[in-house]
Amino acid sequence: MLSQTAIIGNIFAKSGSQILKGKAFEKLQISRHDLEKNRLRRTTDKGVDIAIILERGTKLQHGDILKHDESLVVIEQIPEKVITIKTKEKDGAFEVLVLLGHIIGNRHRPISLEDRSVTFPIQAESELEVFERLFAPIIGKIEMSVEEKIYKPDERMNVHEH
Amino acid sequence: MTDRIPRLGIGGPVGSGKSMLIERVVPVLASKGYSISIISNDVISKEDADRMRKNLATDRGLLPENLVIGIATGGCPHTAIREDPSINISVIEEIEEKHPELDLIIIESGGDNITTTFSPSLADYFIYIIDVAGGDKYPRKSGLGIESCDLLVINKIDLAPHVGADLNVMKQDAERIRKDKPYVFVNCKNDTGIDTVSEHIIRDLLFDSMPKVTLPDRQRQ
Repeated sequence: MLSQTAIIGNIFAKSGSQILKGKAFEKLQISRHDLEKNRLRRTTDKGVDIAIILERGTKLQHGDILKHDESLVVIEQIPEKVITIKTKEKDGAFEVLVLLGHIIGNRHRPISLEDRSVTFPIQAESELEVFERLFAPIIGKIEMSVEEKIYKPDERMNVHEH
Repeated sequence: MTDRIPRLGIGGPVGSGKSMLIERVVPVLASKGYSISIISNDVISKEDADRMRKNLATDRGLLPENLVIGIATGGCPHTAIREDPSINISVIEEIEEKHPELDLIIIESGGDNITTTFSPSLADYFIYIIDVAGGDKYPRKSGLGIESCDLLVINKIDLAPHVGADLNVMKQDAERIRKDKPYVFVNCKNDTGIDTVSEHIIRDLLFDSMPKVTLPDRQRQ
């Protein structure tokens, strides 16, 4: 039986950086999708096989520090393609905002909001064309960009993707 | 709270061989001593559950008849395994309560399209199955199911020459789309690849644990 792992902190928390201070650690890359899982077996960047079992309701996060036997493992979320949309008008016309929400919601995407912009994940760049068409009625009033990043959806909206 | 029993979700298009895969994999796992329950989702009928119960439980005694459960979900099949998995979760919690000795619960989705996925709150490990007769372009078309599943099973490889499908194309596309995630070619009719599927389940979902109830114990029960 594999030895199991426990989450002991996160590198983005103050206490987390203390845990890692001067210590060697391994990295484990996980997709956003797989971070949702409570039970998984993976291999770290140094080739160590680890089993993770979490309590129901808890989930892994980017930067979590796991203790596995005597070694430390840091979870690194894999970056993914996302579209970010900014509205051009400073006060954001009501129509533009409602249509944006309606169109993105209709495609069942999670969203995150920051500085008057909304970001959602896409599977491939080919989807940019789809969204340009969907946003046609308001395309002159928004700025759209594609980038690859570590994406964290807004947890208040529990959506599924397909 | 009772211990969580590892849960395997199986999804794929209509007719790709989901029930057949279960009928082939369960005997392999049962022969190694693992105790299993099967939940089969379908839209209207419970035909798949009835067939698996007869073939695996009634005829072969590999698991008790009452541990093969059919759920008629109505609506789109994926709704019951992803959007609102509450029916499946309530059935599973009842099983966990009554049968803590189980090593594995298999949840079969009704046949659906290439975007099928399981809610992580329902399944710990997700097998997506497609078949060669659907065309060798299938892996390349990607879709969330094919891309994100833990194990991609490509079934009915015996049909490749009859439908003009090139297994080499499927292999290359599966490797490109799935990067380092595994896939396996299978022929459920003669058990080709079934051992590999079972090994993945034992390693990646059961974490190589021994069966909870050993065989002599079970015979005494």
